Amino acid sequence: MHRGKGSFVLRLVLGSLLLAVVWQVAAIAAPQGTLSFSWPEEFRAIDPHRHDNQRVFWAIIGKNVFDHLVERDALSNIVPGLATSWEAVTPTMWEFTLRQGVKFHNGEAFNAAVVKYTFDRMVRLTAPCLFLFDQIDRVEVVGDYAIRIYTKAPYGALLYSLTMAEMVPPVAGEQDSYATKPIGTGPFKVDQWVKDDRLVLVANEQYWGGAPKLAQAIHYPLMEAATRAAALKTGKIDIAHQLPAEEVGAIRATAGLQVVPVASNDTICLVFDHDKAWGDPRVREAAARAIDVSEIEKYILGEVGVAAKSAMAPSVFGFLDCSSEFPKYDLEEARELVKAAGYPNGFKTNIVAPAGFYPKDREICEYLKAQFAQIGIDLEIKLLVPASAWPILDSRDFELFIAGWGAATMDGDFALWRNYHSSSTREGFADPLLDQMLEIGRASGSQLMRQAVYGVAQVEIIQNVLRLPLYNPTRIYGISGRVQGFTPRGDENYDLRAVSVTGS
Amino acid sequence: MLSYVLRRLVVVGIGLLIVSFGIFYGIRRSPIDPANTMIPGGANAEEKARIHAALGLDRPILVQYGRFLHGAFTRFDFGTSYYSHEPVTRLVLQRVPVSLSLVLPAFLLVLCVGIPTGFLAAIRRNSLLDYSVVGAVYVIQSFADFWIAIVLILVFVVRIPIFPAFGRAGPTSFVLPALSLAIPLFGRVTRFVRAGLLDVLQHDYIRTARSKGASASRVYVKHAFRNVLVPLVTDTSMQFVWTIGNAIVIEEIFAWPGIGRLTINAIRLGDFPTAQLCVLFFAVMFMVVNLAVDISYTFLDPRIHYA
Repeated sequence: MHRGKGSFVLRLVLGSLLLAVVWQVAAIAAPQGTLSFSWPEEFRAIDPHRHDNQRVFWAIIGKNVFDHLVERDALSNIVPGLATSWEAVTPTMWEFTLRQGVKFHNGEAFNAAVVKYTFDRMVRLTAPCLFLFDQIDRVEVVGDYAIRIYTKAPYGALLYSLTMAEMVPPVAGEQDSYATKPIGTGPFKVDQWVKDDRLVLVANEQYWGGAPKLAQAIHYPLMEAATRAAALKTGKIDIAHQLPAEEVGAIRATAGLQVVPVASNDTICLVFDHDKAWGDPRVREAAARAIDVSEIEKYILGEVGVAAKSAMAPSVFGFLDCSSEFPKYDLEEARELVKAAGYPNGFKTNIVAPAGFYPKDREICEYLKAQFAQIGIDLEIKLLVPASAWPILDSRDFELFIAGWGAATMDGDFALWRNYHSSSTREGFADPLLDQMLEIGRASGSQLMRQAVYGVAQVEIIQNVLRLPLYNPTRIYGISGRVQGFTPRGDENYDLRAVSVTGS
Repeated sequence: MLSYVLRRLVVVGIGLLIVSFGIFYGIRRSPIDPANTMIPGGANAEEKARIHAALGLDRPILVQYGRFLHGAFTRFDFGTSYYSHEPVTRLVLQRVPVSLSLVLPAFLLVLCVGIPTGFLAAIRRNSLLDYSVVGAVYVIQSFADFWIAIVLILVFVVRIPIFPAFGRAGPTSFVLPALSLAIPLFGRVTRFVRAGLLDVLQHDYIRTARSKGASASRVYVKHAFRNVLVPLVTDTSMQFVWTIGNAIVIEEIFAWPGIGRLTINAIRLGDFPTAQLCVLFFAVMFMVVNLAVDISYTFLDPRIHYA
């Protein structure tokens, strides 16, 4: 009896200790803390089928409020998402096995019918993002957790496109409130969206991949760079997306803040109209030889960009470093080429740029003007507001244009096809080898084969100077020391799953 | 008076119809195309056709306008935003109070500083005070409001952390935006009051009042200043309406979701329904304030009355 009483007390003490430990662990494991961040852009819509392809949508809402059938890791490789395995059964039919036990934020279950509903809704609402999926013919349900996707032609880039298709719940997706409070399966839920003021996300503790560490994430759209920098310095926000070069020094000097420049996946190019003088490859090569990219990088771009190494950015799948293929800087040679092309006295030309759309566009145009003058080309600079500049790209009312193209799906097909395949380019050229490489790259289901052909394609583009890639803009992140686990990505997505904050 | 007001309201209605058609037609004829903003890098012909069909932009303009009017008159429905799919009436009604809560305090500040300053400068004409006021006004009026805003942020947010960098939480968040808006504007009121008073003070009835032995305050306030009120109210009211839209720069800097920002972004992105209602809102504001000011004349100046 004496032993019984003692062991009871012992059990009571051990039990309380265990309870205390479990309570503490649970408290630590429960989502806590609020992360505030700011992009210089407000969402125009937050419904996945109504947003007009804004990067900020995919970066914040697409990545955290929703899941996709497959996802991209930080190196742009495909990893499972809501689909656990997949197979290209025929060149035009892929079969996906779906993850079980996944629920939407409102309790609806995720299954094969949801996938079909999502793609149907996209078509029904004429979603602006449809152009990413125009190779998909139809989606078939073949079981509760199995679907087949049929494509119009063999489409190896399907997986990359699918990383951009947010899965929408069939019941909630039909309600009007969905446009201002969308529901997905992701680690965060939309709590509140006050346009031009803030977007508040709260943790989804029932997330199938494990609850996130943060309790809340708030996005403030602050257009003005000075405001964003001031908010970061005074601690009102923890992450400032895209700081201008002028603020970098002050932020670096502030204790508790760090500056992280990351190359984006945009490539800004000098675009030629091949129906004019620029159609002659010698003239284009002359232009390339008149431009010293290292000078541009050092003196004009500074922290704001890095010289382009290829027709697409290094973080995109299929990238090949073509630095050695660019025509070398040689003004003498450039002059000779211009004369050989039939312009002994040079010629006049113009360049159009959407003012302010790309960093340092004015400076680069002025650099081009000075350099071209040395090889006999008289360049007239036309800086127009973007709304007036884009129609000129359509109407071909230009000789040269400064235009960029990002890779929303982080895949070579998206990065290259639209601007370089003869069926879709608006610049008036047709390169049969390039067309062939792009077609194989689009169709082939083997990522190895695609990597190879995109390599050939990039070399072809650079050697023939079909467009002249100039630089990849960098995104300069200002990050507070209280943020843990945040890694800026090449696709600019904010993966908030593993992010936590110290302090409150 | 009542019949005058009613007649004016009829004119306002006709004016609004003309403005609404003007903006409806104008924005559709302009090079701004929502399809180009929706597809990054510009839309090709096929995508444009698809988006235009979905938004109803492929119909003839008169048909589109007819449907717009029908919705407006029967359901007070001015359409839904092409982007956020919210009814634009709700969008605009949310944003107007935000802008007003910025512009009203700013204008109160402008009047409280501008009127006494102009007053003092006028009655102490050619004194040191007068010269310094006029000089200061010329200098300060040349400052841009966004420059003032950024300087205020650098000093009173970063250097000496008193005010928040952005947002609308709490009374401290009103100070910097209202100041940035007010500082470039009060100069106009000062100069107006000063010039108006200087002119009025030349008149015979002032000399009469003074020779009657009226006290200084009676002469200056009751006799002189009252005659400056009518033009001052006219000018200030129009400035007020103009500033509601012009506050867009301050709204951008301090991240206030106001109507100026909504308008500019709607036009820039080709969100036609929102842009239309915003422009209509400014037209309404302008006409209604005009009418209110005209009516106020009957109280300010007993010589004015309407049949």
